[in-house]
Amino acid sequence: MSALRKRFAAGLCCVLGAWASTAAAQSARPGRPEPLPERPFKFPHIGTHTLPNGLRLLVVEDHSLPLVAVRAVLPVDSTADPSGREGLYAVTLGAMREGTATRTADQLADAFAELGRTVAPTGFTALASSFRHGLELMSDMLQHPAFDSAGIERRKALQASAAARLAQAAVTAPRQIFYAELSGPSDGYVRSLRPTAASVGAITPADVAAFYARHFGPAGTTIVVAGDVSDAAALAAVTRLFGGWHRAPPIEAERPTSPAVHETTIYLHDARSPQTYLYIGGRGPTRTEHDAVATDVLSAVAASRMQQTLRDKRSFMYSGTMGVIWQRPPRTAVLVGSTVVNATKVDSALAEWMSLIRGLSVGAPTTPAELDAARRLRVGSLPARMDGPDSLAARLVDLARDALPIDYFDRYVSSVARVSAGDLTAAASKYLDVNHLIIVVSGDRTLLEPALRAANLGPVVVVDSAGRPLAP
Amino acid sequence: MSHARVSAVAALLAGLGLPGRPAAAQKTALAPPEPASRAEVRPLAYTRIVLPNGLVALLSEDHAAPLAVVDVWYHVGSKDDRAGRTGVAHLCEHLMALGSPNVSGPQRTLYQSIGGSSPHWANTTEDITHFYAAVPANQLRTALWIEADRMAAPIAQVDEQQLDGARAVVEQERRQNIENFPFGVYRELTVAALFPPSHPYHVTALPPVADLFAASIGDLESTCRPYYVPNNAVIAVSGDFDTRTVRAWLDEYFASIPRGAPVAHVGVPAVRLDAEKRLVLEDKRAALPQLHIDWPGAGFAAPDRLALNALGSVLSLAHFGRLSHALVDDRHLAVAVAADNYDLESAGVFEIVVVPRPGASLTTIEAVVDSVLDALPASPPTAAELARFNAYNAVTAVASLQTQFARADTLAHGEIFAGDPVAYAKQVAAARSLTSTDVEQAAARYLTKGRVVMSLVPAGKLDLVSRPELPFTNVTPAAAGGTKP
Repeated sequence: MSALRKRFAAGLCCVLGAWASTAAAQSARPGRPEPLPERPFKFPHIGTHTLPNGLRLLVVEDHSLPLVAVRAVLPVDSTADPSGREGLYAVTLGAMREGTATRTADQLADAFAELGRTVAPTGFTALASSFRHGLELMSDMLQHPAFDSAGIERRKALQASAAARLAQAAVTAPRQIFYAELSGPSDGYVRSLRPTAASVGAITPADVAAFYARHFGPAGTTIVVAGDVSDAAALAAVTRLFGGWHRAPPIEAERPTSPAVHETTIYLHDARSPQTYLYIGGRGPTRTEHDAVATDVLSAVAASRMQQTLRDKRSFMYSGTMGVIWQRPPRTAVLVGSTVVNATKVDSALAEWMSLIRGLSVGAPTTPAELDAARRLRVGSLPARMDGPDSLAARLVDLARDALPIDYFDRYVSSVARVSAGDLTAAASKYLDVNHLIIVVSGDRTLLEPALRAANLGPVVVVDSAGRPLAP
Repeated sequence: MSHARVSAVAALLAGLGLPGRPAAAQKTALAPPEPASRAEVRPLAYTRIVLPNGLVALLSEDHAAPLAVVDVWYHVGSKDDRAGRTGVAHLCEHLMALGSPNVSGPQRTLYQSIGGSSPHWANTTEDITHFYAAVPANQLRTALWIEADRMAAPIAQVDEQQLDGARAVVEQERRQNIENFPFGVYRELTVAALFPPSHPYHVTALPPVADLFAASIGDLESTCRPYYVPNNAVIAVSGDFDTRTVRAWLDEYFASIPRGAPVAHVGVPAVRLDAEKRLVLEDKRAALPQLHIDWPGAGFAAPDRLALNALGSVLSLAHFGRLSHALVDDRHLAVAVAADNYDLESAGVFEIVVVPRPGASLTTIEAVVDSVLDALPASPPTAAELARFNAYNAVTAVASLQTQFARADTLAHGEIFAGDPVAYAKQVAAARSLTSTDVEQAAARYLTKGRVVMSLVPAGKLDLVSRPELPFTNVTPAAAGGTKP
């Protein structure tokens, strides 16, 4: 008997057995158990230190694996790229890896190979036994970059290639259009989403040196350490390696403008993608505003309704998200949902989705069961978000980047418990106002435009990939 | 392809986006630590239990956070799909996620209502299907009850309407995760060229959906149910629990599920290509070309796998890899190179991917790749190259176990693929014994003239194809808008 036949015969045999056994299994199944008492959530102790030069250090000990994760939270990011030099932040960070005052790129690579892990100027994860050595390499790149022309040119080539690949991804245009409509085309974050070969090519070594001098220094920088290292050892190592870093305080980034979101508009982008990307959303609160937690819980309810309707009930989508994207202060958060659907279903999917959003503030407010599930989801998933040194370090980065109080995550748990259904309705009215949404539809215009206009869900404006209106 | 291996190429591409005088003299350098290549990789502590019905349970306690992960692996994947029913294993995963006799509606919804979360909730590969979730530690018992209910009556709740809905969602998944990406179909076209049509790995887990519309509920039940039995499953639990308590819960919820008939797993014949196949894939959304070169590789338990992993490092480790050095640093032809053996359960794919600099010729790049490969016998891997491989291999083995999801996955993977939940730790140790000759001989055995060379080019840019004077097959799907007649 061939292998295939043997398998087929075995399969038949199993089927007959399974039919009989299924009925028995169903009748004998035990009932759903009651959960055990909850263990109160408590974020691990965070050691906090500030060096005399202003550099801050946050440490969480986790000795479950012989690993340590280190990150540098800098006072600058790509939103500070000057106009026409988009990509400068990435090129500057990359050029730091091309050599320091005392190490060539080859010597850095040799050192990384000894550690079995690449060290970046902004962090690394390595064996605990390599902690001090990795930190020394990181501090050398951050404090003493050589910035030689050849290294900068190499990094420009990498960044230009990355920009070209980013531009060909189907998700890039709808994301850029969404943020351009939200914050205006000249906003730093919007520009940071679209470095080009031209903007990267225009970067000079002098630009890199000036950007570094303007934005990098101990003041405003936080080093976070999580893993198998003691607080005292982390403090000693960071003091030794960063205590002598003296530079002028970084210049604060310009405060972004926040133009009002006008009436709900559908921005239609003609993409060559066989599928259609949908983005819906608007501006949210800052992470420390009084209704930030309510907005976060609201997004869980909105995401659940989206899943249940657009996937489970209507099969319009495979996966989609709806959530709050917190941004570095003083930028406000963005409350946004996105998914991918077939072009022939876009009008129906969009109508259903807008109806769900409308219901959150008018007509179908959050039910007690939904509120309970959303609270459990937000609090219950917290331990998974601090599982291991990398995740712990990511949470410490949240604290540092978003200027949150050290006990933020413990407070978050109690804040979630206090959120009411009324709070969610208020947050929905304020941040998911169906009359003031930005909607981006990116796909085959020939199919989409007639359907969207016929559906009459809002004015339709055809735009290019930067969000600029096209002539009718 | 395992998740970790698949992610290597994604990481290569994503990594491309990463991005005066010193204020003070560099402080005295620290003495370097003991090289990571010799670092000890301690296996995870776990308890292995086999229930009378054949279900294997792997329990790994860790009380660092009030969290537990439940990860149920069924030893069935796309290589078990029958001819004319491709994609069925994956469709069955979707059907298994629509509820069970005592769980009305998707299990995902119930999990979320108790604080559960998961990156994807379920996944189907060529070899396995698994369902996984993290829950607050006090809800672990409920999670076990959910999974037992799913296992006790697989696909028992499905009607025609649900089947139609599941087909539509799977169709959408393929569009979203494969067809919507420039060159997104390259992998399925590569394995189709490497493995002959009758081979179990000829088709991937998420193929074109035409076969799904020919499958009835009865088909699906008869095809899938035999695999969803306790004696073909492994449940891995990792996190904050007491092993004795969980053992009792396993008895309570799983022990009554009847053992199924023994599962006969499909045989996987070894594959060698007799000659080179040259393919071209065009895409109207792409702006930049790529070059992929693939050979049949070694499966997870094959003796040559570690040597091929080492070979991948020798060729493409950043800065040191021979291809990286030649193409990226020396000739400035590429921005990145990746080479590795992607191990399936019973076969593998050794792949070299080159991302060219704008304007670089794929023909020149292929010539450089070939010259580097041709030089291997005369210039076998050095001790330093093997030490670098072992350093990264050891640290990656530890770093990849940070999360409870990863720990549960690793234990279940080792149990099913190698009969040893902590096979990973032993393989790190075994890799330290590799010699230069081992790697050189593996290269000679696998990196032969029988290979698949695929030029990925923007639509209509056939002038960018590597060595265009040689005959090639244009494998561009119609939707990608190529010049194929």
